[in-house]
Amino acid sequence: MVISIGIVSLAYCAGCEVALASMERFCNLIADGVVRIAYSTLLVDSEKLENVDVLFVTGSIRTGEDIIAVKEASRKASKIVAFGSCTCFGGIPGLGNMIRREEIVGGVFGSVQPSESGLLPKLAKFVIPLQSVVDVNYMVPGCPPPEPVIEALLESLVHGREFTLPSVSICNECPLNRDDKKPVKEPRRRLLALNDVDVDTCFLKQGVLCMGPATLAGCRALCPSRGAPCIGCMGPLPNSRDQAADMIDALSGVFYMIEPLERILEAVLDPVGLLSMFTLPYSTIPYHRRVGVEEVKRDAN
Amino acid sequence: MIPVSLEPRVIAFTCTYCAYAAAETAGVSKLQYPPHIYIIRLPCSGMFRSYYVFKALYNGFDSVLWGGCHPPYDCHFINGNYKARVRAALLKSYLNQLGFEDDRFRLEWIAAGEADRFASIAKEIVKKATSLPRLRFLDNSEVVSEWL
Amino acid sequence: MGRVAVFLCHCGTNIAGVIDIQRVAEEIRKISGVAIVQDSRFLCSTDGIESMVDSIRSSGVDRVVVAACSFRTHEPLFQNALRRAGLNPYLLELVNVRELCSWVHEKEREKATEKAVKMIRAAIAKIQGNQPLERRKLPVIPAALVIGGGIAGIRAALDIADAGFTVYLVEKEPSIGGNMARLDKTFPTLDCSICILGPLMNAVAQHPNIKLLTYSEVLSIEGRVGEFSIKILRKPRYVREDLCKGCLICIAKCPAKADDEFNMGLSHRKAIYIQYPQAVPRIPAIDPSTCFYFQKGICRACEKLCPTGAIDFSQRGEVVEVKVGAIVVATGFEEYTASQIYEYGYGRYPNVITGLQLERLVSSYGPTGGRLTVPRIDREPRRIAIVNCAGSRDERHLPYCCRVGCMASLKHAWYIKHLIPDAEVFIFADEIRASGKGFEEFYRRVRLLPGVYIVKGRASEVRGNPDGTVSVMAYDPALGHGISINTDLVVLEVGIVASRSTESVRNILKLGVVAQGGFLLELHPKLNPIETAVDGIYICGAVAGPKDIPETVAQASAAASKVVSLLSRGYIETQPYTARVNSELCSGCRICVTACEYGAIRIVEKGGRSVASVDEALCKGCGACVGSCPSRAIEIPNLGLDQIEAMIAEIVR
Repeated sequence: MVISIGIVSLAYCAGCEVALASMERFCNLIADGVVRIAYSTLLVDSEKLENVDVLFVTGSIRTGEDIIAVKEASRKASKIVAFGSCTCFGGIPGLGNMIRREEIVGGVFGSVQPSESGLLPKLAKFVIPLQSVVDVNYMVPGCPPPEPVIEALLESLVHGREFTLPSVSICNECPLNRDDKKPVKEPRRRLLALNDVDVDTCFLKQGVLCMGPATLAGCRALCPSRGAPCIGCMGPLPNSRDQAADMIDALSGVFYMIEPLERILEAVLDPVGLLSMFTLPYSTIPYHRRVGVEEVKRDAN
Repeated sequence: MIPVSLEPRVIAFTCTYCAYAAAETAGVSKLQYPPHIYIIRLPCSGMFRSYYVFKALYNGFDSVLWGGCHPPYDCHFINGNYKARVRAALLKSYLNQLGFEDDRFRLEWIAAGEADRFASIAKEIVKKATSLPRLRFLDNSEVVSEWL
Repeated sequence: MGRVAVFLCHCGTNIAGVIDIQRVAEEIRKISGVAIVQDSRFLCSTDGIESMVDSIRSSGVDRVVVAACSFRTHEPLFQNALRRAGLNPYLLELVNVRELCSWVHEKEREKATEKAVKMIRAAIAKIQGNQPLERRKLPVIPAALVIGGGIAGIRAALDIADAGFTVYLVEKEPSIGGNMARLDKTFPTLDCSICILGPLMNAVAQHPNIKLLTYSEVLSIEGRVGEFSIKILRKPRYVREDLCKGCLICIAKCPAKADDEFNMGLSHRKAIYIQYPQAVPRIPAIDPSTCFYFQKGICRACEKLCPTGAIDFSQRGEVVEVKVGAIVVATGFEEYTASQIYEYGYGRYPNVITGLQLERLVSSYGPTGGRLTVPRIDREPRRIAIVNCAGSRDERHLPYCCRVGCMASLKHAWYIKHLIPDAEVFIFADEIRASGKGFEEFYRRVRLLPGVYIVKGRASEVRGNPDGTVSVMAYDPALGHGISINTDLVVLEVGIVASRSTESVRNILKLGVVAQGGFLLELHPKLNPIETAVDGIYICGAVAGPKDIPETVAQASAAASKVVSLLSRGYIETQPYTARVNSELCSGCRICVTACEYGAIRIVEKGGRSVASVDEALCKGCGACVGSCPSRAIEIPNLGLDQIEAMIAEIVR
């Protein structure tokens, strides 16, 4: 029985589709007739989404159309996969939750208003994760989901093996040396430090912000093992309540002897951007105050 | 007149040996302060987690206080307060960037002998909380219901 | 979900006078999981406890919330009640609706009641996550450290040593004795101070169980009650203690001169010196900052004169480490800086002195051999003013009463009349506080001496005159106008503060202090003036607050008794609040290892992964690791993250 897959792409960059399509395993499954892409505006010729076995959703939920489309699409599938950090957590477009939708459109398009014709779709109030719209069967994080994770997903879809994500962070897979017990003396700005860090030693212990401790494992520490600190694209650990909170806690356990305090803040100049780059819509406070918060005046009339 | 549901709500995390001790001494000395502040006791300010602040604000507290021991020497557990200090600075920076008022989260060093100070901080923080607007955080379902 | 019993204490009217207990009971009964709610006038009474035990047994609950007072007062009592009722004592939550509610919101009864309800609801939400915990027994080292060799430290050391335990007595000066050795006589008995102190000092020196470490300072302390490791710096005297016989020939020919601190700057001493004739140990020390050999490379007269060759300029300081089960802090007091009270002219006029300086002047082993003369002018004073409350009960300096100044002023008036029978003494004081045993009688005795006058008003100013006299001004309410009295000598009864070495000691020991005066903080001002917030560390004497000698000695014996009680029991039971790692969740990031100040966390292999593991014996339960763990993998039992989060949610629900 061929497993039919529909891929619905919302506010997407195509990275997830490319990651999927570049996997040799995936291509073999298609070639062997085990899996068929029934619908994907990017990968195949298809006019309309019919009923499929598995619906992959990629890209953030940014516009009203995204919400309506994905809700409709969800009715046509028995299983829904939130594929990629955009659907799981909001992804990078989630940082748009810092700005009111009127300002986003106004900032880009000036006075041109969105119309009902679809040429300039009306934005949703703020970016939300997929699970706020439909029931999700598989959360597959990553930007894009790394190979081992996609492998595990395919194993599950094709052979029924249980799809589980790890319960630990990147540090668990990271080959860098973390033996130094001393607190950090010198915080560094991430991009400026990359020329003279020791690539065999833990970035955090060298004062460079690495999201590894607060980020879900699964990618085999892809970036840190290649000389780049983790930026957190796999999202939070399953037991986490808030990825940025986890990272702030982690930093304070290592940076607590730095004086003056301002030097730490200089190394984390854009805290929201650095600490919740992929997960702002998934955080405890998922938006800027003027985007998602209403004021209730205290004086009764 | 403020309706009861809109009276200020403040939560204070206090460390056992300093801020909490000051709060208890304030009680023993019958110093008075408004009842709108709730005190949670933990062994050390080093144990205060960032999520508690986000959660408290999101769940409906108007402001959050962290009370720990004065640096450099007062902390019963040596440097717990230094961890709280860094955590608070990063939290403030994060909350600031999210557009929240400075008065929503406050870190204070309160020694065990400073009962007076505890009471006056309690009064002040409740007063400030009253002048801040009560916030209602929009739920994701409200985003969806605009369209479905 | 567990079944919870909730007990509400009225505490007489302390709680019930503000909080509507019946309303609270009604609201709490509605909560699911609450099996019974019971209130009691005094839960801590025998009746209250018996009733609690019965109710727990009969209701079959498995956890208990008590809304009453501070955990400091009665937690052990209620924990015991749970034990007797067959429950693990850690399945208890104590909600402080007294210190944190009824006592601080006295005028807002309705809101206080609502707040109490919420506080109890939060505790119920939290207790659902509590697990049973066990305490461990750890051994106690049968030795004690006493910091400070004044009368308090001496008394404490003797009491502990008499009970059969080893005592390390550390004193920063070359001799023990403290401030009491500076006094000529003590009030109200007019005992010769050194005569009653001396035998105790000698007893310390000769006691087989006391290891006297003078001219030494505490550098660092590690460990916990029952097992403290202390590093002590023994400063070099440059005199070998094993060879010195105490003949003091070395001092006679020393050419150097330094301010004599023991005589409060009223005279000079040599570079090689003992503080006073009755010093214990009777071994001189060389002060390198004034010694000609250390400063200029010449002299060495003492070395040439010493009959036993005990002088050793090459001597080095050494750091010794001792292990003890308990520590007593008795670092005493010093006079407040009198020059801070500008209007009294201390430091500007040589005839303004402090109370302790007067003691040195009249002392037979003081700078004048017991002749009372005005310093530097060297003339016998005929009219003397004693200014009480100098710097005390004054918002600009020390807000508190020094407790001993009034009695000291009477004693000083007696000294003066005794030495100079036709002197006139004017005491300037708001009132004379004479509340101790024999004090009122002493006051009457002094007041009746001819030529002793008490001006019932505080001195406002001391002004110098061109003829070398000083005038003391005050408002005399009896006369109804200001007065100015011309005197030869003014004695300031200056306020007292904790000695300056207290600050570094308390930082090393992590003890709290009172903001004004720097006195160490006791565990409870009424019921526990000796223990501190740190288990195993006790305070006594003037370092804990101004007091006189009988009070000091009483506290010293009290501290000794607590130490002996601990050491003779031989073990302590630990609180089981140590961090535990959930190795399934631990990512091996090692952030906790850096966050832990006690080095209590190490990395081990488990299931093919490196994960953290906590050494229970080293863990202090501070939660620094818990606060820093990004995986939420390390927690302190019964203080779980979910539990705290449940409390936050419950209060605003």
